[in-house]
Amino acid sequence: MTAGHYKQIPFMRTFRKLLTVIILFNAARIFTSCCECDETPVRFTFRSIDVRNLDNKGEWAIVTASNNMAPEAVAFEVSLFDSTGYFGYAALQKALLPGFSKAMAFRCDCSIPFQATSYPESIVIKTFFAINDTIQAGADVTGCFVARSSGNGTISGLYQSVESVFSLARDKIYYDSGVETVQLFLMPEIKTDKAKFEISVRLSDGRILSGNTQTINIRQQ
Amino acid sequence: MNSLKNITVAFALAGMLTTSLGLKAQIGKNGNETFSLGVHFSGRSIFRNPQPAGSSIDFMNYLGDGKPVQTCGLINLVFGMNPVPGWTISTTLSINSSMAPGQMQISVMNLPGDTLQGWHLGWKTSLVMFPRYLNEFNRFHIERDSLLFADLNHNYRQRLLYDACLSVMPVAAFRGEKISLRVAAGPGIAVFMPFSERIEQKKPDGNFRRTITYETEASPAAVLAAETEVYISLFRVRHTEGGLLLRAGSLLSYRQIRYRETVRTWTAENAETRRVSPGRQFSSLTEAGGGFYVNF
Repeated sequence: MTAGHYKQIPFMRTFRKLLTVIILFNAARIFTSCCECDETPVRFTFRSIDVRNLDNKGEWAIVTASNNMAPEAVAFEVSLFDSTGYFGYAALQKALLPGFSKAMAFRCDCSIPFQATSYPESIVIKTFFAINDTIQAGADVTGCFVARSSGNGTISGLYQSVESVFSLARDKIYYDSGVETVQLFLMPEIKTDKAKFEISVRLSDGRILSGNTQTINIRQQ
Repeated sequence: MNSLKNITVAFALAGMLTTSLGLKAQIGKNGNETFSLGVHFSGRSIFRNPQPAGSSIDFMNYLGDGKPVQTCGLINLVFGMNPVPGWTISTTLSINSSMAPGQMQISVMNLPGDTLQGWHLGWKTSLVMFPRYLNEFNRFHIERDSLLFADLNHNYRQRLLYDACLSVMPVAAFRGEKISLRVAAGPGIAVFMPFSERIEQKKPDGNFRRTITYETEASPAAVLAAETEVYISLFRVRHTEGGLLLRAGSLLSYRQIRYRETVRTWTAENAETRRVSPGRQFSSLTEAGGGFYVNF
């Protein structure tokens, strides 16, 4: 062995020790990075309804602020939610966990589960204006609409019947946002120049949440 | 991709079967077992007689690039063995330009007395499975349903369609000093592996939506199969023989792809289903090539 080789040994020992410390430190990070998320649902109540216009001229429907629609593309989005502000509750819950009370990740993105105290059961839609010669103002036009729900599993590309759109809403767990959203699409062509609807959602506790659409200007082609 | 996996698994199983038989053959008492390895390059031409577009889609019109004649080159790896005199089991794995081993052929041949010089008669059964591309079949809807967004799926619509053919052929073989010849021709049955496809449509400036689902059937068709093999011996060292291999083959048939068409308008419940049986199209597959073989 050469003199140079003997000189390298203390350096290698130091390097090995340093490496061991680094490995142990990183192993500790892995061991403590398992999240323990609280899966207890936060209860909330549907208290408000919001109706927005949908632009369904193109391939997919998007929310729009415009009150102009094509006669065959009349569509709305209905949202049910709790007006007390569950996002505030979620922020409060995180703030109540000071320090390092248990094995938690350095950054733990837990989704907060929400569950409604009552669920939507049915929907009724009435028109303020005549749609054509056979459907007059004030008529129940629920059967003239089809629906889509984001979380209720439809065959891609197709609509659901309005009766079935809330079929999976019972005991539904909402993650991060306790909002039930349904999109409604009118099937018959509107032959008049204005349209407006009243949308009422009946909840399982007997309450009814109602909302009106804007007055829609029908752009006749 | 699943079909490709299945074929790879089937080929592996066939290889394991033939290998195990081969090892068994090697320890036999008669000592006449032979194995053969070969590699050859071949050109393939597939012709079909396209039909004018009707009111329903004919998937046969969208095989390949839509032209009546398609050609491709293949590298073929052949493994054969004679477990007992007169019987030959062989598998051929073919690789196309995508370098995917997507095609295979398994054949069993009985040729009594084929180790002796002269003419011999026997029979051969063969299972061939090869992929064919089905390209842009949504063009049918883009042309027919011009008042709609004819296909909401903007991806390139391509799928791999497997064509399988089982044939039983009488074989006439000649074994000479330097040249061996095999000619076989006979009937068979061919099927397309079933698949399903869906087209989603929507009306511009309207809420109307519908989906069209196609579920194809195997659609069996009678096939006339023929093949010729020529072996030219170039060297012989003890029990090892090698040389040139020339191969040509053809499959002739009238093919169709039958299917069930389900049209759902507005909702999934509002569905209408009908069976569609397009007319048969004449189709032929011709392949010829050459390479090398070793028997040992």
